[in-house]
Amino acid sequence: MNAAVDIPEEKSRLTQSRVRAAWLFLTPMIVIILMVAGWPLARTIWFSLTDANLSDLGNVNFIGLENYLTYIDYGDGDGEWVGVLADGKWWISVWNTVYFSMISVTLETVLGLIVALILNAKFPGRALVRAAMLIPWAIPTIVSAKMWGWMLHDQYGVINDILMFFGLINSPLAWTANNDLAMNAVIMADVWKTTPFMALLILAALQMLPSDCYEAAYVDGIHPVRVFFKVTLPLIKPALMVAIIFRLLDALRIFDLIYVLTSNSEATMSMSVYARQQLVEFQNVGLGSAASTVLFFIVAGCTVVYLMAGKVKFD
Amino acid sequence: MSEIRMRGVYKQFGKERIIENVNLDIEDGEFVVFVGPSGCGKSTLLRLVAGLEDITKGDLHIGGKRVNNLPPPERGVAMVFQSYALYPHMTVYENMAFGLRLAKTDTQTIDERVRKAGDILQLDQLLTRLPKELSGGQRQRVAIGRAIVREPGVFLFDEPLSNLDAALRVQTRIEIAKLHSDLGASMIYVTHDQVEAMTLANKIVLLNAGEAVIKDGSVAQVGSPLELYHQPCNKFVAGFIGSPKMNFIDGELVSSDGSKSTIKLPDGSQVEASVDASAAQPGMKVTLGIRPEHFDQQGASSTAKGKVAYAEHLGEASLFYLELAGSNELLTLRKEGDVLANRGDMIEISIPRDYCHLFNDSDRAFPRTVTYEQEMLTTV
Amino acid sequence: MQEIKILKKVGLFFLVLLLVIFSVFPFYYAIVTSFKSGSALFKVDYYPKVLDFSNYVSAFTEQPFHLNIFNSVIVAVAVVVLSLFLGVTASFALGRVKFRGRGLLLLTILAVSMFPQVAVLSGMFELIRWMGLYNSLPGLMITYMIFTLPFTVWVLTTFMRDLPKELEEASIMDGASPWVIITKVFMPLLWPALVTTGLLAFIAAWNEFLFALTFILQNETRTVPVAIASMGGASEFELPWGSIMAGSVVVTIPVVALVLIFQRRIVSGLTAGAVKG
Ligand SMILES: Nc1ncnc2c1ncn2[C@@H]1O[C@H](COP(=O)(O)OP(=O)(O)OP(=O)(O)O)[C@@H](O)[C@H]1O
Ligand SMILES: [Mg+2]
Repeated sequence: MNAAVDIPEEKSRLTQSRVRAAWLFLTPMIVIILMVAGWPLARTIWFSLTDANLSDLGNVNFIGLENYLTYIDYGDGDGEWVGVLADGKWWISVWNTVYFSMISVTLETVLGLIVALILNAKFPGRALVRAAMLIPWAIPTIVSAKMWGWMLHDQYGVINDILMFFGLINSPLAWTANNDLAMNAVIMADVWKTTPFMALLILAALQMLPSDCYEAAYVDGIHPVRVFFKVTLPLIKPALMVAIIFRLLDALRIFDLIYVLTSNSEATMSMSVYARQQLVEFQNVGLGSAASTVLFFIVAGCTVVYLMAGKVKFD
Repeated sequence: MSEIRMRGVYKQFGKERIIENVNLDIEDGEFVVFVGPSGCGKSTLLRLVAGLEDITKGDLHIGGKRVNNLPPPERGVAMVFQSYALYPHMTVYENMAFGLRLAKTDTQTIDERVRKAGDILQLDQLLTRLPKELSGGQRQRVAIGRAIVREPGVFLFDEPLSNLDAALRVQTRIEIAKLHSDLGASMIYVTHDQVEAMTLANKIVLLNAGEAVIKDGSVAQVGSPLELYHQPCNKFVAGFIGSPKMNFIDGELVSSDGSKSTIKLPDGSQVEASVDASAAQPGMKVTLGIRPEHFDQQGASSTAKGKVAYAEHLGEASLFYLELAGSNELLTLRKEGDVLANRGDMIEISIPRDYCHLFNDSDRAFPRTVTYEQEMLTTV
Repeated sequence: MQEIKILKKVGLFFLVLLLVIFSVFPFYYAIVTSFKSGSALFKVDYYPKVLDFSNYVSAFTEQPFHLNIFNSVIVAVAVVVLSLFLGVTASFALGRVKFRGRGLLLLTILAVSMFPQVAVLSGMFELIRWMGLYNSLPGLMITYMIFTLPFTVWVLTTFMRDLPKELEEASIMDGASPWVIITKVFMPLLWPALVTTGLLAFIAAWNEFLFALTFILQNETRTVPVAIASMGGASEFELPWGSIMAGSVVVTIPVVALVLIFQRRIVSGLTAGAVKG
């Protein structure tokens, strides 16, 4: 009577048929995911180890890690390092991407928080304002890149016009063409497009907070700023972290905005832009794939760190 | 025929042992109620019968057939859920017809059965409404109707009344009792409401919780309501059935012949109980049990005085919580009608020997020498 | 006290005003620009002085813009239908059935939704060339699955999981198979979630750029974002800003309208999409 039962459970036909149905339902999805994600990823990694060229993908030779890094010896003690990791342009694009991600995500988080706090206050027409805020998010990235390109135009741009009206600058700036300003232009456009999204996510978290904490704090006469840092922020931290990490992963793979707003300028080139340039424009599938692979592992690494740190549960 | 037999039934969720060694027979047409503390596995046991959970070990037979791995619709059972679980986008009629439609019953039969169920449950005016347009009681009736139309051999109810208000609960309880006698099907009913259990059941199954599940199996005692009330087999059952709870007083067995025993109480006094404790050695630590409503019965061997710690006046009866010399637990006393006594007053209580229960040092009950039929005769 | 209150109100008002201007101005300015042509373009105006539709005409005559719109619609609709269909059944399995490997599968799906698109570019290029779908709309539809499908599955799984357990059990007792449960019991309850997810997938497909840029060669087969990005003038320095803005307005208005109509649902969908950590 006291013996622990260790024999496997006898599965009823209900359980069996449910599990069978589940796999049946999952199969098409799994097949498609394998087809459009698993297989191409595997091929990309494979190409990164070959000398593949876009014009003839059928004829490739395995060259090991040469696309990543290799030393070419010219004899007589002379030689040079080649490969993605030896390419100065690659490292510029890595720096650009990291710089862009850090600055834009920070700005978006701070501004998003502020906007969310404003929208959390009750005022007439709040729903309307919230709707207006969705507009930047809904506009296709390409369209917003073009819009900002036009607004930031060096001669006829409205931004220059406004800044000059307020006397902040004396002469028009070449936002997108000037290497020192181009990244700022990209960040500006990205912050405009993404802050509302951030704000709405944070707002959703804010609205799920229990109101009694606030009432208690209000009754105790604690200063609102203190309440924000001691009560609100810790409570929304989990939701905030999720939003930040999603944005960060998104920012690390940025392509469209930079490609359209500042085209091939090296000053803003991101890792994705670099990889695509190698792949498509220079037809160097091997090298481009190597760059893509490195980007993939960076993003994967961030994801893993996040999952481990955040202890995300899946059931 | 849809008698249910459970033989050595076990259920584990992962490593959690929830149901242990249940052996239970439910005859055709019987009304069985599962009661027990919250979380003891009542719903789980019911869901094992329904087929919504897999049985870890053991055999379940319904109508003479082993049904362990039959899917629910093939077991000839129907279930009524606590939260009603009506399909929100279907009308009352469609809710009841859904199962029959899936079973490819012909339209005319469906219509007949749904209308008949509607008549029985007074839903005939509501057949075209959506669940959200119904009151809680009406929704509950639709949920029952959905079970009725399938004409099952066994009805399963999981706390069907707990979302209703007190008055509606009494009314629906009576309707369910009537339904049982009209349909003649077996019913298994889970509740934690004692009154529901006592009034509806032919047979109560009281489930153990905690440690006892592993030690004694899940079932604490099976029997008719009055059997459980008058002849609890252990202290847990004695304490669970009856409200307010039975009083327990620690004591020591002094002597016992076949028909009565003498027990020494903490204050040094001795009482007699009509219990056969001859199987135990004198000097054993025992627990004397007596229900709050039984102190005033006749046949007391001794009396004691208690100080009122606090009092509750319910109208039809009064409850007093008494401090007794030598004991740090309060004793509950129930007196019929209005009895005026306040905090600090002394009340004299007697301990009638025919109403005493006695438990040994491992909480098992000694057999009482008065059967409850006799007890009832003396009471009437 | 009273003054502080009023001051606070006025402050809030201005903040909100700033917010609205910040959100809406670029799009507003695009509309203003789209009605200007010729030399008017080179003067900054904050409101339309004349309504000149010539940019709209040239947006459609200089390139097959109507075809581009049509292509985008076809691709986006197909992608939505396909991913919803696969997503509903898969999310039922993931959200409501216990089986070995479920956690791992969910993890994989989440991981795939974070894939940098460029990481699969060369493999994808080879794949659709091998399938003979290079430079065709079906090719795009398939490649778009990489981001719409994981997202759809993930969001629908969170919605599926929240449906009441007893409802499913009641239908099991009624003899419903998983397929019947999905179609007859859950779908009617899930349609708001389906609208949300479908809309988000639609927007994602409508806006996609990298694959469309790389896998499509001809003007006639292009989708809207690529068409807008490649509207060019005589030289790189003479972009037809008027037509570009006109085209932008045309393709943005439907999306903005959809978003405004369904704004509540969209916000709930976005929040469901973010993992509950
Ligand atoms: N699917 C499950 N997985 C794991 N544990 C479960 C599951 N279902 C129930 N349990 C556990 O089994 C125990 C019994 O649950 P059950 O619902 O049967 O209790 P109950 O007697 O019906 O309680 P109540 O009176 O509160 O309804 C509980 O401890 C519960 O936590
Ligand atoms: Mg229960």
